Formats: sequence, C-alpha cells, structure tokens
Amino acid sequence: MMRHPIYLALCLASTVYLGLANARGWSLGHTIGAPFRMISPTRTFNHK
Amino acid sequence: MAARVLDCPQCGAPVTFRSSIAVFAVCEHCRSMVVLRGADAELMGVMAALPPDLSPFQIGTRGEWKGRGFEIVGRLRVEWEEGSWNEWCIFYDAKTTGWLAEAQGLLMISFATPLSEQLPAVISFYAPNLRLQLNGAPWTVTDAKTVKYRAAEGELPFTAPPDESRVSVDLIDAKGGFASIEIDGKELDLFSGEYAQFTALNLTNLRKVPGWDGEIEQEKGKTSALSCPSCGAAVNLRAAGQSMSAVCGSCGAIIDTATPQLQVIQEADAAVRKLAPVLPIGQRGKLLGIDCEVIGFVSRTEDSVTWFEYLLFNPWLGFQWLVSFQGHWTIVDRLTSMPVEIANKVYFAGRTYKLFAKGTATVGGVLGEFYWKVQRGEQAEVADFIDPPEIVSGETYPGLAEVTWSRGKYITPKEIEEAFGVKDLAAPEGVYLNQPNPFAKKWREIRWPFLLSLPILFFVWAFTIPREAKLLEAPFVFERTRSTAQSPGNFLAATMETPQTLTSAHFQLDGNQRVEIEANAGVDNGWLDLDMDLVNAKTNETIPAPVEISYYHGYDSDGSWTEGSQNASVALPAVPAGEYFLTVEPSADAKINRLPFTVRVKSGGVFFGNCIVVLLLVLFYPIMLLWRRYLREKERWSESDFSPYTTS
Repeated sequence: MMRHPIYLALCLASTVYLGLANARGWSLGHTIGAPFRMISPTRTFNHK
Repeated sequence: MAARVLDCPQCGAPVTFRSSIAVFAVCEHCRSMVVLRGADAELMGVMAALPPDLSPFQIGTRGEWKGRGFEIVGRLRVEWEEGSWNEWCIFYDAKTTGWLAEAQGLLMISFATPLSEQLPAVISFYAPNLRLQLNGAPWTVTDAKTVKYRAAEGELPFTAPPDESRVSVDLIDAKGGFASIEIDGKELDLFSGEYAQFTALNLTNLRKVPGWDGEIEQEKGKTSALSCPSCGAAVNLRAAGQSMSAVCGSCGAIIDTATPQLQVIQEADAAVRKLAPVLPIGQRGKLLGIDCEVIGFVSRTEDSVTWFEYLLFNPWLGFQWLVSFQGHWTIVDRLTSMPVEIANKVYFAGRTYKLFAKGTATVGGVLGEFYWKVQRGEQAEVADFIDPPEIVSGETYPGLAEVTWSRGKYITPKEIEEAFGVKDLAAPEGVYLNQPNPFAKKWREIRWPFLLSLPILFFVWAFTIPREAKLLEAPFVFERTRSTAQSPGNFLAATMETPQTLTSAHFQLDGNQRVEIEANAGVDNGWLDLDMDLVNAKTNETIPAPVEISYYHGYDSDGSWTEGSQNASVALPAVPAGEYFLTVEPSADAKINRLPFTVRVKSGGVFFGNCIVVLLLVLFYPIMLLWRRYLREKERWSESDFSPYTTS
C-alpha cells in the first residue's frame, strides 16, 4: 500500500513542473497568470 | 537406548532406567528412591510427592535441540526460599544427559561443561551483575541462591536426596546464552547452554494441560485449589507449579504457594477489595496472537506516580506483563540475554535505548498470583530505557541477589479491548515514555521518497536549463530633442519634448524560451528609463520589457555610499519562436541631454523562482513532520530527569 500518496504526487508534480518550466522558459508568475492572459487583449506594435 | 528394568526394592514394581547414564530413579508405584549399584537396585528412602503443576512437560516428552533429538527421562523439583522450579533431565542425542529448566515461564537447556577457570566456591562472591569469564567468554551473574531438591521423578544421573542444600548461580551473556554454576561443598560444576523457545523445540508427547487443552476443557478455571490459611476461603491457583505466591481474594492475605505448608507471607489487607482492575483476574484473551489469562495484578508507585501491572500466563509460553498507565498499555517480556549498558544507554538486539527514568518502585495493592513471593511494600530499583515503541527495563531488588531485564512494546487500548473483550478503556493521556511518535513514523515513511526526490529535482533542474544564446547587442544613444509649438491666436509659444523611438535590428528566436534583455548606460547620479517592447516582426504582437537604470553615489557622515547600478535587466517568460526586433523609447533625468546606452538580448537561462517554489513545496511537509516530531519528543522527555532537550 502506497503511503502518503498526496506527498508523493506533489514530489512528482514538482519534478515535472521544474523540468518543463526550465525547458520552456516559464516563470511562476507566467504559469499562474496563464488563465488571465487568455482573456486579456494582445498588444500590437503600431508602425507609424 | 537399551533400557534396564529392575525391581523396586520396596514394592517390587519395575523401575526402568532408560538412559545408560542414569544412577538414580524414583519408583512410579511407591515413590521409593532407587539407586543403581552395579547391577543391583538399592533403596534410599521415599521421595516426597511432586506438587501439582500446569507444566506441559512429562517424562517421555520428546523434542529437538540444535538438530538432535532428546527425551525427558526425569525431573527434579528444585526450591529455594523464594520459590521453586522444574529441572527436566533430558537424554540428548541418545548419549548424553542435559537439563531443560522450566522456571518463571522461561525454558533453558544446558549441559555439563568443563570449566577452565578457577572460581571460588562461596555464594558471597557471586553478586548480581558480577562479570565473569567462563572458558574465556564474558558472562554476567543474574542471581545466586541456596537451593535444595524438593522432589523428583523418573531417572537422574546422580542421587538427589531431598533437603540437601547446594548453591546455584545463574548467569547470562549478551547472545542469549544461559549458564549455571552449581556449588556443592567445595565442588563446582558448570552447566552452560541457551534459553529456548517452546515452539522451537518441536515437542511431542506433551502433557495435556488442564483448563487449556480442549480435551480436558471441563477443568477450566480450576487448575488447583487451596484454602487460605488466614480466612479459610478457597483460592484457585491458575498457574499451579509456577505460582510462588497468591493473594486471597477474600481477605487479601498473601499466601506462600511454593511449599505445601501454605504459610501467610503477608497478613490480610481489606484494601484488596477496593482494587478493581479493568482486566479482572481470570480474564482470558488472545493478545497479539497468544492465548493468555490474567493471573496477577499489582499496582506500583514511584514518587507518587502509580501504574498497574497485569501478569499474563500461558502454560506453554510462560509469563508476560501488561503495564498500564493513564490509558497507555505496554506488553512486556522478560529478556533472556543481557543488554549492554553504557553511559545512560542500553544496547540490545541492534537497538539503542536511552535512559528515561530511574527510581525506586514500591508495590502497593496486589491481586491474584505471582511467580515470586510478592509483598505489599516490596521495593525494586527500576531503570527504564526507551526507544519508542519499545522500552527496556532493568530491575534490581534490595536484599535479593537478582537482576532482571525486560523489554516492552507499546500497544493501543483498542488492541487490549479486542484481545480481552472489554469495552471503553480509558483514553491515553499525555505522551507516554514509549508511546510511538506518529510524526516519527510518518517521517520514516516519507524519508526515502523525500531524500530521493532532492537529487532527482536537482538533476532535472540542472539538465533542463536551456543554453544561453546571444541574440542581439545594439548600441543606442539617448538624445533629448525639444520642439516649440504655437497655437493659433496665442502669442505664447510652448516648448515640448519630442519622444524618441529607437528600433533594433531583427533577430531570430527558436522555440518557446526565456528571453533576457539587459541594458547598460553610464548614468552618474541620474536615471535612464527605457520603455522597451519586444516586437514580433510577423504578427506585430508586442511584449513589454521596461527597465530603469539609475545609479547614485556620494558621501555622508557614515562614509561613501552607492545606490542602484549602471546595468538593469528584465526577463520575459516563454517567448514564442519567431523573428523579433526591439523598440526603445528612452527618457532620462532632466540634466541628461545625451547618453549612449547598450541593449543586449539573449535567450535561455532559468527563473530561480521556480526552483525556490518547488523546493518549498517538497520541503514543507517533511519539515513540518520533523518539527512536530521534535515537539512531541520534547513533551515526552519533559517527564524525564534525563531529557536531552534541557540543558543543566
């Protein structure tokens, strides 16, 4: 029987997250803010 | 084995000498002691009757010891002033005589062993805890006493006249070894062997135990009855033959049951009626898989702290103790090998036990029966060493040349309830000395996953760091430009600053990556704001990347000081692949009109915030467990005079 499954899952998730965050250049704020960016307008550069 | 059968000189009944080395036998018919003199049998007298007991052994019981068979051929009932025990004579491997001692619920097998050392043949030399070398090996004296033979049966390798005194010294070593030095006059004999487990002896032809074996279940609870010499009430012995004292449930007198005379050890005590153990005497149960019966109850006090001890009996496996204090329970077994005690620690069976308490325990109320002559007011020097959930206790008895070691293990009230069918036992209060620390258990369970996850996290972190790549290095110049504007109909002209927008060359970014933009300017006691945007050349989507460079320095009463830096950077997370350029709108301190600055763009690197947050997540639970384990241990040891958590 696996003991402390939540902690073990946390360790696993943390490891996966750290690897992905490094490889894809995520910051914590970027990860947490991802849902909000989906609903915020994108800024574009205006060539004058 | 060629048995010799001779006629009993007293009654003519056949007396069988099964073993070749037997010289003494007791006639089964008339209990005459028969001595073998050459081919003849001589009469020596009449042997006293053996007291009734619940021993599972009998003459003819066979077993195995170290891969070789043995058979019980005789028995000696040996007694001393505090009790008596059985010495079963075994014919071992069909060629030698050995002894299976059955005392206080323990079994010991020993054989005569030549002794290379010269030892004094006086009892006063053999104090408890005395360390001796026997044939070059270290042994410790546990007790020394004057003994005599009370009765015998079967055949023996020597004559055993009743009431002849001799000295018996028991010793144990640290490996489960047992030895006995027998001193008869100036003769000194050594018997050495080991403690034995009943179940390991592969015994057959055992005696049916009244009240315990299913076939004679009708005798349950009536193993042996005697009459209280103080009040005449009936006292049922539940461990006859092993019990050396019993308390009359009617008047409270403590009766010496080791001898047939049934003397009163201690007078009646009406307080016995007030004792109400939660496990009543005679209660049977199955604790940790072992059938047992509560046969004794004793309360002991030390420094106004009182705890209760229940004596459990199983005719095959001997005695165990159940210790109860404020809702906490510990099951205790006597140790058959000597723990090693060094500097407030005891080492036994690969575990280290720390000294927790030391003091004098005094017997208060007693009920039931015991394997020694218990007395109210009896004192023992007790030292408790703990390694939860286990406890090792050493007891020495003033005036009694004996030291005993026992080992206990914490068990829950629920296990007691299930074992004995009792309900609503008191809930445990506080932290008991050998109560398991639940946080220590949880820590042990996650220790290896945790310790393993740290290097895994490090390797994952180290091997997934993207290489840094320089994408752009662009020199720019900030130049303040002003323009004058005059509105129609207004003669006053306003001077306005014209914003400057600088654009870098295009550069290519591969994959989703972290991008770091670093700016450097020679500001001196001033500031430069760079309102930068990273612009995707294809979609025109912008990612803002503002930086401010400010650098100040000077002198005050404390000396020189600096603030800020001539470098500043901003990191952008997960920038999509594509062709990019940078737009910069600089603004600066009013006193700066022109200032060159450099902007560098590179990809790769990591955000350390991820690492810190992940570490916090992984560390939080173990650190919390360790902290709570520490608090629990501190609470436990607050009851000890030997606490490692206090400095003296």
